[in-house]
Amino acid sequence: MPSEESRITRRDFLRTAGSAMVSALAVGPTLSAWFAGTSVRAQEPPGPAAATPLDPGRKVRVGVVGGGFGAAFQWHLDPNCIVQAVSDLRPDRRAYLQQVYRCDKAYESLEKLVLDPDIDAVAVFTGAPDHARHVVEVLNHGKHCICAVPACMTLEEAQLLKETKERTGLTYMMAETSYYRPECILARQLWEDRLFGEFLYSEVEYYHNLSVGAEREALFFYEGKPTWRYGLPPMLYPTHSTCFHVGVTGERLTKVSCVGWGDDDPVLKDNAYRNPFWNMVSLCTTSGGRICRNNVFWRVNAGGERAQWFGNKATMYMPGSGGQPFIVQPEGQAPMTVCPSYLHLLPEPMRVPSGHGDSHAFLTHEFIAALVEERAPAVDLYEALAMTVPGIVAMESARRDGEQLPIPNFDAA
Amino acid sequence: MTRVVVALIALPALSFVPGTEAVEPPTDMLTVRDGQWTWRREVLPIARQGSASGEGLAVCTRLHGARGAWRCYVEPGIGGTEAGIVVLADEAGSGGLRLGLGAEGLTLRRADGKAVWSDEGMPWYPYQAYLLEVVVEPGRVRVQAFESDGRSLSSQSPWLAMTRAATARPGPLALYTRDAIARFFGWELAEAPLSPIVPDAPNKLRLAAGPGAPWAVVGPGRWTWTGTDHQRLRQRATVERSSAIWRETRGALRSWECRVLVRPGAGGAGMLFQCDDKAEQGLLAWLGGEFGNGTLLLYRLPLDALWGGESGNWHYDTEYVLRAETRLNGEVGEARVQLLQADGQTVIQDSGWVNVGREAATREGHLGFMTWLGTAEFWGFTGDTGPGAVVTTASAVPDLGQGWTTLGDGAWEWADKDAVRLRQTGTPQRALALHNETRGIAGTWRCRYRPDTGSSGGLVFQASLDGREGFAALLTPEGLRLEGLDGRVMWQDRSVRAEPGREFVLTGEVMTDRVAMRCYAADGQTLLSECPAVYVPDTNNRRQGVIGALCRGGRAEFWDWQYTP
Repeated sequence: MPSEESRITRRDFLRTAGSAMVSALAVGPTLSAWFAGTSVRAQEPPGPAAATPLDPGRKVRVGVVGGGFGAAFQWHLDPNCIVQAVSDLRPDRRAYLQQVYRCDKAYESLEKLVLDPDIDAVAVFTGAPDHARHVVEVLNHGKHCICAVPACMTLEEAQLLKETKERTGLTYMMAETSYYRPECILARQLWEDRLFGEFLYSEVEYYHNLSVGAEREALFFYEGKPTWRYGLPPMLYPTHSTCFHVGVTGERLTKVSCVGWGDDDPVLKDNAYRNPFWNMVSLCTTSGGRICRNNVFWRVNAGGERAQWFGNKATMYMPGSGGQPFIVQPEGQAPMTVCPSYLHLLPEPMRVPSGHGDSHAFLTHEFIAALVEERAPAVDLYEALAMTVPGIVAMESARRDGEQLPIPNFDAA
Repeated sequence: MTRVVVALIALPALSFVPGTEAVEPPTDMLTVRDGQWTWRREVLPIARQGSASGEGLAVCTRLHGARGAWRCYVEPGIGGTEAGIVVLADEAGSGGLRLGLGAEGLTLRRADGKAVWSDEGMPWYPYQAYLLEVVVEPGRVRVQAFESDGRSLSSQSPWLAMTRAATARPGPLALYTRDAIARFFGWELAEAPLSPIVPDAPNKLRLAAGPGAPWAVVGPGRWTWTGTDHQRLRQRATVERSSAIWRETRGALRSWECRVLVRPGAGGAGMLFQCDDKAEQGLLAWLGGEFGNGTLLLYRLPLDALWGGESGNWHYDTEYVLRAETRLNGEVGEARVQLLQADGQTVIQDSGWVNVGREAATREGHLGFMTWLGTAEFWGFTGDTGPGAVVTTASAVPDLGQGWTTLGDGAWEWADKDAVRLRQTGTPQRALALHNETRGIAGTWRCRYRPDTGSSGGLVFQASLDGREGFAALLTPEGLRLEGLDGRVMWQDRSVRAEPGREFVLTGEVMTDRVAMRCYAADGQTLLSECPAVYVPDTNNRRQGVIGALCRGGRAEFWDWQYTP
C-alpha cells in the first residue's frame, strides 16, 4: 500500500483533473488570476492556494505621496505591487518614503509625480483639505487613486470627485481604516447573516484626545505655523466612525442632527475653519429606517475608533479604551468573546501587524487586487462619499444649533 | 518538493459592495444542490451558505479526482450544527465522506451520518476560518484541520481503513452545511497533504476533559500538554477565565503544590485546591493583582478574596512554586498559601494561616489550575497528599451592631460612644466592615479614613454583603488604588500614599458600567488624585451594594459615611 510519501505523478494528477485545467486555461486575463493555482509550486512546506489567488505576473506600479501616514502601508509587501516612485514636499519625509518602500525614484511634488508615465496608480496621503484637489489631479492624469480619509471637506468637492471619477472611469478607493478592523469585518458578516435581527441602532465613535501635550503640539503646528489639523472640525473627519454603520450595512445616512461643544480655547477662535467645537455628537437616520449615533471628540479622556451595534436579536461591542471587552451577545446563544482574525485573507507576505487594528495591509491589498481584477474596491467613491458627506452636513447642522438636515446622496445614478 | 494544485475558486468580474445583493454562484464553478448559496467578497471571494436550517450542499464542479489532499477553508457561523467538505462523493455530491466542524467538534462521517472518527475537543470559534483537509489514498483516508494560517495544525486523525472500491472512484469535492450558516473559500485538490502524521498533533496533547474523563475544563481555554510525556500543562488561549481540574486527585486537610509560569500579558494564574469539578467551590492560591508585577492571593471560591500581599512579587516568564495547605484549628478551618522561588525553598510570600471556614477547609476536593486573561503553564504536581497541622487558637470578631457586618480577620470596634467612628485595632490580613443599611447602585460613595503605621485601607462601595463583589478606594503605603473586591487592581497612583495619622476623604463613583475614585485632603475640597472612569461589566448597572470599610496590615479609623445617588 503506498504511503502518503509516495507521490502521485503529475501526469496522473493532470489526467484526473483535466477538465478543470481546460476550463481554467480558457478564461481571459481578468479571471486568469483565479486560476493561478494551476501551476507547479516548489515551496516547502506547501501553503494553501487561497494565500496567493492573484496572478503574480500582474503588477500595479504605484506612486506614494505623503511621507507621514503614507509610509505606514505595505505596498512593498504586496506581490502584485511595485512602488515606482514616492513624493513629499519635505525632503526628510521623501527620503523616509524611499527607505520604507525601497524606491529609487522620488519627486518633489504630487504634481510632478503624476506626470510619470510609468505609474499606474497613486496613493495620496496628504493633508485632509487637499484630498479632493489631489485626487482630481491624479485621476485627470489617467491614474487610479487611493486616498486617505476623508474624501473631501465640502459638498462641492464631493460633486467634483463624483464627476471626475465617472468621467475618467478610473478607480478610486478611500483608505478608511475602520473598514478592515477585524470587528468591523465580523460585524459585516453578522449583518449579512441577519444575526442582529430587524432593528439596528449603532453607536459609532472616534475619540482622539488633543487636549494637551506633545501630540497636540505636533499635530497642530509645524515650524511654528498651524497645520491643517489646527481647529479641524470633528465632523469634517467623520469616516473612522461613520464607516462602522455604512461599511457594515451598506446603508446610507439620510438625515442628521448634530450638536457640538467647545470652550474658550484660542484654537477655537482663530482657526481657518471658523470651527467653535472640540467635540460633536450627531444623530442620523438611515436609508434602511435605522438609527446611527456618531461621536467625534478631540477633547475627551478616551481614545480610539469603535462602535457598538444594538439589534433586537443580538448586540456587539467593540473593545473600548476604558476597558469594555469585545463581546457579541446573540439571542439564545452563548456569547462570543473571541474576535476572529482575518489575516489569512491576505497574501502571506502581507500578514503582518499594521496600524489601526491591522487594517493597513488590508487596504493596501484591496486596492491592488481591485486593479488587478478590474473591479471596484470595497470602499469605492460612492461608499467613501456615503461615509464623508454626513459629517459635512452634520457640521452645518451644528452651526444651526442641531437643526435636522437631509444628507445628499452621491451614489451612481 | 513538487506539487500540483488544481482549481481555485473562480469569480466573475463583479463588484462586491456591502449592502448590495449577493450574487448567485456561477454554475460552472459551484453547482447548488441544497441551501442558499451566494458569492460575497471580503478581500477574497467567498461562497456563503445563508440558510440557518436544513441541509446545504454545493458541488465544486471544477474539482474532480480520487487520490490526493482535498481541502477547503470553512468558516462556521454562530450556533450552527456542522459545516465542512464532502469527498469521494458521486457527481451530485451524494455519498462519500463528510469532514465537518461544528457542535461535535471535528468529525468525519459516512453519508449515513455515522461518525468514523472525531475530535470532540477541537477548539473553534464562530466566524473564524479553519482549513479542513481529507487525504485519500487507495484503501485509506485520514483527516486534519488547521488554523486560519493554513499551517498550524489543530487536529489530526490516524489513517482510517476504507475499502479499495470506496477510494477508487473519482468524484468532485462538495461543500455542505447542516443547520448552519457558513462560508467557504480556497478549495483545492493538491498532490501532497499540508502535514504528515506527527506524534505531537494538538489533539494528542489536548487535555482529556469532559464527562467521565480524568480532567474537567471550565471556561473557554485551550488546555494542552506541552509534550507527549504529559507532564507539563499549558493553557494556550487568551481568554477571560479558564480552569482545568484534575478529577483523579481528591483530599482535604492536606498540602498541595505545583510549579507555575505566567506568560506575558496574562492577568493572573493560580492553583485550585480542594475544589469541585466545576470550579464553583474550593480554595485558590492565585498570582494576581498588578499584571506581571503582582501578589499572591488566597481566595475562597467563588472568588472571595481572603488574603492578599503586596505587589511586585511575581513576574512574567518566571518559574515559581505555589504551595497550599489546609488544617483545622479547633473548630476553625484554615488555609495557608505560599509563593516560593523555583528552588522550592526560598519563600517570597506567605499568607500565614487564614480562616477560610470549616467547610472550605474540610471539604474534599480536587487539584486544579486557573488562568485569567492569558496563558500560563503548570507542572510539578502530583496526587500525593500531605497532612495538615492542628492548632488551638482562633480569632474573634465582635458584633458592632448598628447594621454593621464584619468579614475576614482583624478586630473592629467603635471609637466613640455614638457608634459613628469605626476603628480597626488589629493587624488584619483582610478585614471588611459593611453597613447593611446604606445601599445603592449608581452614585457617589464617600468616607473619611485615617491610617496608622503600615495600614492599607479605605472605602468599600457597592459591595455585596458577602464581600465578594464591589469596589474599594484604597490608600496604601505604596499608593492609591481602585480595586475590585475580587482583588483586581483596576487603577493605581503611586504619587499619593497613606501617611500615618493623616486624614483623607475617599470617594467612589459608580456610573452605569464604569466606576471611578477620588482622594481628597482632610478639607474635603483639595483633590489629591482621581482616576479615570474604568469600565466594568454592565451587569454592574443593576447590582445593589452597600458601603463599608476595608483594612489590611494595621490600625485605622473610618467615619463620615455618605452615599449620594
